[in-house]
Amino acid sequence: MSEERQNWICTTVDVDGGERVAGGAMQLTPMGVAAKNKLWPKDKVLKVRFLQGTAPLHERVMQAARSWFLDGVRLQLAPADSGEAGDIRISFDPATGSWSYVGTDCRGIRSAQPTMNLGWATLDTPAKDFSSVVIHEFGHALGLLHEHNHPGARVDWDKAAVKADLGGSPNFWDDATIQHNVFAKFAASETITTDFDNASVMIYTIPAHWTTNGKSFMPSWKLSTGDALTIRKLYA
Amino acid sequence: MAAWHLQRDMLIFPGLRMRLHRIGLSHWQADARLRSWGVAPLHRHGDSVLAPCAEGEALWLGAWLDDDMGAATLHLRDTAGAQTAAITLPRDFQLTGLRDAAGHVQALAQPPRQLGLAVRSAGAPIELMLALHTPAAWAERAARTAPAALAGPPPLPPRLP
Repeated sequence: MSEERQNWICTTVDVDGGERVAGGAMQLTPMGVAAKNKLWPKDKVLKVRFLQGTAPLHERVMQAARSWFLDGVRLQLAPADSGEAGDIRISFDPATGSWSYVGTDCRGIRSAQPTMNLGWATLDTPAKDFSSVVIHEFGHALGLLHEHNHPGARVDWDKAAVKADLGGSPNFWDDATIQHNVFAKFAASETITTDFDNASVMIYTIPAHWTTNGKSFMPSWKLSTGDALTIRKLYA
Repeated sequence: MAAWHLQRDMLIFPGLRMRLHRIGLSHWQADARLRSWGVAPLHRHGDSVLAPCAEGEALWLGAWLDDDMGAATLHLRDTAGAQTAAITLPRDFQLTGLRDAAGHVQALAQPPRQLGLAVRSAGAPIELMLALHTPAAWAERAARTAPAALAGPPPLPPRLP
């Protein structure tokens, strides 16, 4: 595993006027956490349009993204036709890292704008690193949220150490952003959740010094068993 | 129930948690946001907390509230001099140095020293002593192995958009 992948981390993007919810009781179903009202309709063919990059890079992305489309998952992935806006629009801007809008929030984005950025994904990126970031971002595009924001996530944060790191270079996040992206817990009324899955491809990289019990978390480079159960729960 | 206790090298006060973090002295800057190069192990001795601090390194106090709606203040003073520092939560989260009467800020570093820590959080005010020892002296008192010397700065934090 490359050192760089350990530094990969992404943020989901809320549409203007949207709101990430926090607090509340949990609702348990089998594994993962997803935005209940942002799921695509079953049997939808999700059209992908690339705003940048070469054909081989596009194919590499599509191949990794298809990891989510397991037997029984009633969604399909296909390249957008010429002139078609696409449901998921992908850019490769290295200056803005990796991020994606969540599920059907993509519909609210102007057709010329990306709904996903794969800032560190290139043809030279090692296979596991490439898969990790692409699968993670496509998880968001399918409506999945960060696993560490799961209402049942048991991460014993050293909040001072997290703020010390994320408040400085290269992120310069203020406390409110750190609270929103890292510490916040989703509310059951807005999410479909299951048992916390610390092997999920959807969890942040969490270094050991960010936790008071020395636990660290590294997102998987492929779907975990829990991820597979989650996507089938949502779309099978 | 004790007003404070130690759990896994973390000080727990009513409504407030605190750990001591290590950083290379060469990277310490007054009034700057400091990263953690590692967590300092702590040992309780009566109403004192003992921490190792090696030559060439500094410590900083990191604190956070159990309840986002809470508030707390930390005051630190060097019992041998007039150096003091204070932070208020939730506005602040780290205390990185002591300020002398002339306004100069100095790192929490060697020589060994006794610091008075006053905490005002959800419960009654609490006072305890924070003693900085050499790693060898700390290991002897704590009957634990002192942490290895700092190897250098940790990797860059995860980068985000």
